[in-house]
Amino acid sequence: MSYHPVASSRDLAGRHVFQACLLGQDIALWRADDGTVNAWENRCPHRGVRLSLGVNLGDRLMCRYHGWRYDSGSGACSHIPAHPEGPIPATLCARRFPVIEAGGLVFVALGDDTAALPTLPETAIPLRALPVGRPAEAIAAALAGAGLAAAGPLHFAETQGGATVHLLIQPASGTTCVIHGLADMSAEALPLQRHMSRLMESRRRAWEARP
Amino acid sequence: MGFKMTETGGIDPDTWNRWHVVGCHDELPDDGARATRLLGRAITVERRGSGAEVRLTGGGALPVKVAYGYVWSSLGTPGPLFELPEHAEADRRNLNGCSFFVRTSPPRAIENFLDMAHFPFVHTGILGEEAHPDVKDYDVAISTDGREVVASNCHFYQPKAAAASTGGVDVTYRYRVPHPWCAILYKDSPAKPGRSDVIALFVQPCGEEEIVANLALFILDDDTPLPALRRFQQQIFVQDKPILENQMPRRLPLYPRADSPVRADKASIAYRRWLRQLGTSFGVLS
Repeated sequence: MSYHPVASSRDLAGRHVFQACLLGQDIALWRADDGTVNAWENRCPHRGVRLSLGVNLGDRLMCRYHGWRYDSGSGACSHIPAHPEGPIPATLCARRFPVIEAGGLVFVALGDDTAALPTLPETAIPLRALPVGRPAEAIAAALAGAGLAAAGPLHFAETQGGATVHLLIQPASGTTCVIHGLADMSAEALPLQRHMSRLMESRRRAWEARP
Repeated sequence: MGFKMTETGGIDPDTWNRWHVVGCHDELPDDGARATRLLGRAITVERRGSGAEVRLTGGGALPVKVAYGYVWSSLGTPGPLFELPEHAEADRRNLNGCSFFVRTSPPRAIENFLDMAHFPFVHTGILGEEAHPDVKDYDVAISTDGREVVASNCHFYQPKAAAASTGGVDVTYRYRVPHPWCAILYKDSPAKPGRSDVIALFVQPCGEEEIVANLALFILDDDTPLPALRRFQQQIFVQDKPILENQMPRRLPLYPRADSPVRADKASIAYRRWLRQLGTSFGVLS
């Protein structure tokens, strides 16, 4: 399985739980106080409530519904308030996905048999992520058709405002995607971020326009 | 069985032939019919004095019954509706506490109604508090005639058990589930020791993943003004609604190991077993 970008590192703010979708799989992303990034199926194993409604306790995630707590890293359930004396079944665990943080983005793979990460610039600033109501493959074809250099099936690069800009496409569902941009740090950040924001908005309008 | 599912549009016979709630009688408009949905079909509900008329939109009249303050209808040939004798007790106030549209399946709403373990986390400071999260053992059974699930001897510490409560108490609950989408709660009355307030959840199955949840009150409380009673029920239900709308999958899984139940979930386990016995396929995943 390939790694796909699902969030910017800055989306995983302290004590927050971020919701992402990859290939139709709902994912809860959260950063523990020690920096560990967790990517879990967005569903409490107990009764199926989205864990992204839960509370990031710093080292554990607490489900909103019954207060069950799951440990950062292992995903193991470590507390069931309804039965404080236990025992907790050893198999009771949040379903985890492989996750890597690189270049200011967070990448998740849906299987354990993971392929290599895309090659990214060593120092880059993330641009505003752009959700698009079109499938990832259609956006990849459109970017290739616009002459952008392909660095992978869902990874393109272009030069804008004197900087190299990487565009990585997150296949969110069968009909939607999110474009994550990374800009080379050699450029001054704010003017380039504004330029890319306008450029990507106008591209999105064209992509989403019905023929 | 000789029953053809095609006659019921794929809906299981138990669901097809039951009475289902389609509205609160008092709250129907004074003039004209109200459009709503029942088991995926568009219907209209119209008040006719103390009775009502229910029709498939652009089609024929459906069976109709007014009971417990609500209008009930059916797509099939319904038998008797379950008994709720407390409704007729002269000293009770009977009213619709609130009605909410919820994007979930009918059985998810019932299961949540039967669940005590969420009180400290979802209804914090009202029906529970985090310092008292433990669920003591209780009794659950499917009645010998198979007609309902009963949970009894349920004890839970509640900071504000009812609109009329003045402080925290250990309350005793008893639940009846006499219909796949209707559950009735008997709860110690703060006003009349030894008797129970009755709170019922009547779920209108608009579709497999869309419902109207009606909270019906049959309570021993002559003093709390109506707006305060309604506000109390609404306050609780708006806490449940985001939970229900974020349960995945929306339909209740009946297959083994879909969820991870613990002892506190005995009522849910019995309820799911009962739905399997009834052959319910509407709003569930088998």
